[in-house]
Amino acid sequence: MALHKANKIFFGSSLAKNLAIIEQYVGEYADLIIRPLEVNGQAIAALVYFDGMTDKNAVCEFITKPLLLHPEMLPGKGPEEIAAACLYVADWQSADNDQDFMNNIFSGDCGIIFAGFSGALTTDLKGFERRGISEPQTEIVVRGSREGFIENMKTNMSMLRRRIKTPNLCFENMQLGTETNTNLCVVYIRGLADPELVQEVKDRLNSVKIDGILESGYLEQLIEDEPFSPFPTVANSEKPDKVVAKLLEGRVGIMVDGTPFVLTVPTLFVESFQSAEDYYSRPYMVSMVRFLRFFSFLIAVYAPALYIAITGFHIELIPANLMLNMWQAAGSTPLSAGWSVFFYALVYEVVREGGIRLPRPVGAAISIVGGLVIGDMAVQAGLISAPVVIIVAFTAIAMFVVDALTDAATVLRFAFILLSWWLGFWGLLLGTMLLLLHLVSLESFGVAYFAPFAPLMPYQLRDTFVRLPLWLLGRRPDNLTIGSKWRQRQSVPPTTAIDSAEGE
Amino acid sequence: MLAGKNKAMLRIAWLNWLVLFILLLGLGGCGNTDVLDSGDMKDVELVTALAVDKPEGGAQILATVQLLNRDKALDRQYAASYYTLAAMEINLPAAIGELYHYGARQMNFSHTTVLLLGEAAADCDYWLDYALRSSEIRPTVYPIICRQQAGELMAGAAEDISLTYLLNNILEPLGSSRPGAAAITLQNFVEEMMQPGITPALPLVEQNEAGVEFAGFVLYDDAGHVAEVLTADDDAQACAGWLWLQRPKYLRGYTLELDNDVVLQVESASVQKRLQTGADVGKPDLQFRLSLRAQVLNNPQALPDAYLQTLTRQRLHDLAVAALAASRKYNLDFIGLGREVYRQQPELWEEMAEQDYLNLLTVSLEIEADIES
Repeated sequence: MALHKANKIFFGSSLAKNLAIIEQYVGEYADLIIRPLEVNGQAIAALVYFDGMTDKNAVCEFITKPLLLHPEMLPGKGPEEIAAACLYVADWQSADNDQDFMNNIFSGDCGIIFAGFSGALTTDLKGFERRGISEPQTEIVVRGSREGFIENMKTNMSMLRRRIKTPNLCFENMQLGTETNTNLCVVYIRGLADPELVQEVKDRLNSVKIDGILESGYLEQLIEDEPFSPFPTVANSEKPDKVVAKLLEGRVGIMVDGTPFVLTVPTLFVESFQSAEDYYSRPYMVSMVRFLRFFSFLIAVYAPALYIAITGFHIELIPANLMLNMWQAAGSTPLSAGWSVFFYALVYEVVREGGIRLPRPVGAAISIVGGLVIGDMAVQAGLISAPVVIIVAFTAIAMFVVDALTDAATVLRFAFILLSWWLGFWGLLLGTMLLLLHLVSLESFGVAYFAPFAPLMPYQLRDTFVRLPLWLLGRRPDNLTIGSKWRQRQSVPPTTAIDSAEGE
Repeated sequence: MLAGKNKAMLRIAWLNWLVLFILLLGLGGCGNTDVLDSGDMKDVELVTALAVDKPEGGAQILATVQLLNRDKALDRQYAASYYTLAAMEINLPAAIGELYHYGARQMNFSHTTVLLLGEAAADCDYWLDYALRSSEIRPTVYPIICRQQAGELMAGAAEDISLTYLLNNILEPLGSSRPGAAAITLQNFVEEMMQPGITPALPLVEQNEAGVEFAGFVLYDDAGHVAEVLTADDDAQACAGWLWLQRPKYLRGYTLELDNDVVLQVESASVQKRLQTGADVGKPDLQFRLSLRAQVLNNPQALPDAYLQTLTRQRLHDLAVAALAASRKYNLDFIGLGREVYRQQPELWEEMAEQDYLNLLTVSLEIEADIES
């Protein structure tokens, strides 16, 4: 497959030749429809569209009928004048070559080539099946919007436009993929996003040379800062309110046609622990949940390794009563703590992967079978001890509390298991040190990944382990935006506004 | 050229990481085979008690370890849950090293609670160095001296109850996991050895028909040798006085017997010490203020609270005086008078240290007793 596009062929004034150019460009065209329009036996134009992608009824009503019913309006007018005078369409685009013309046709537009003119028009009359707006399965919330992005980029753009009703919301379209010609859109709020950041995003996107972009994950991997890091430096989300919140902080979004996952950059480590609904609820419970997320991440990464380190190297740390139980349970197993944890963690990953890929009714049952039955039977058979099952199972649950870092937690979990298996607590400390070194050196589009911890940004710490009341979070992150630093009145409690109004 | 430069930089970055990793490993002492030879929990044998004996007339040390049977680990009050191994060598480390060849290759002392010492092996020369240097023996282990052979006591059983279990109950009453009054940890013992002005002591136990019972205290001199033994028979009041003056906060639940068959149960006790010196005082005066709160368990004659308080004060006074008298008699400051002088007035201690300060100091006692019927 070619990484570079062929040269463009420009249309001429002959309708027949232009249609031949189209047919040559497309090749085998089982679903391409070329509908000639004739008046008094003379071809005046031809409609070009794909069956199943364009709304045929709309084509008939808004293009075919006006042109055929009012042929007297055609002479002496160019394509754009004809469109303005005759066609009942909302907008159109001009194209004077095969590639630009067919790119729009491939997207579901209807093209019109007029006889005697080298310019053609395409108009948006898409009629393909699309999924309705529904709650995203990967980001379920208790409170907040239940809308999620869908595969159609235009719909996604409208969802953002509905939420940010300002002329400063900018969409810049691009196309990537020499074969797929995937439409994508860079979105940002002018005046908040750093122009250098926007340019950096566009430059990185333009540097992507690939035959096809099937999902935003392709772009994520092709433009991220540290491809070898387990931590993502490009965030993604299916929720419009979450993306809007990030845009309002000065970030840049990347929407890709064909996927509901919208990318946002730059990304910080602490964002993985923040959820959109954290800001819709009162701060007390949210702070507790936020703290639980950090704790769960630590559990997910460290729990199995801690178990191996303590039982293999530092059993003096275990209280006597607990020690007797664990010691008795471990004695009947043939595998050491390290092998037991490693083996059962692998079993869990297999069961999890199987549960995802299998059909939904079967997948749930398999997960339950794998989790409960296999674990229980393994303990009864004496393969592993009960504490191992508990540790690994709890770790597995904790891993999904912080969804954005599930992959990183899985990789780190096994790395720490190996380190603690080898060197006990010393290995854990070594791994932690290396992990911290890595985190503080990571960057996302020029912004330190570990901010606001490193570099220390005291004001931003208000929204990390805990979430202070909303009226105390009025300042935009300094490292993300160039616009106004204050997004609301500075640290004024809600009742103050009423008091001052009554005083007046 | 740019791609080549990036490759070179990447290579340097990886090399830096590798060098840092190796440096850290080296600095961490990973060449220490203890780290690499550590055993998994399923391979270790837990030692619950270590006994040290010096057979009569011999120069060798007999080390006996009490190990837990894995299958019966949760029934540790029963003698059948344990088995013992013994080895005799020229010193304690050699004897324990010999035990590793007897099948208990992965002995682990991290949960050893009792360090039982025979009377002949009570001198610190035979056991203290090993106990302190061992990376596994915790400083919270309880050294105890027993009249008989420590190994025999450890391997014995009162019917089917393990004697070591009964011993543990003396040290941590009723499985409370809190040290009792007579439970002196290795750490406490060593701290008292290092501090001036106090004679360190360890509890003494003996086996009789009832099982294992507290039998007194063994006092050590500065060189770590046994200096004197305060027995519960001959010096019962002195032993009790030592408990009240040295370890009052561990006396919770302790029963105090008074005259007229009155029995009190201690709920809390504390002691404060204050040193008074000066021309108007005369001899340096160390004041002990002992506070006690107790509940009446038995009062057959229904004596009033005020009278009970009087009885209590009298009783505690007698115990304290007995302890002081024994301290002066044996010239062993096991109450810690010198330590209080050292703590409160180090300059005065420098003057008194080489003198017979036990007789130079006057000791006054103030007792507050709060008795609830």
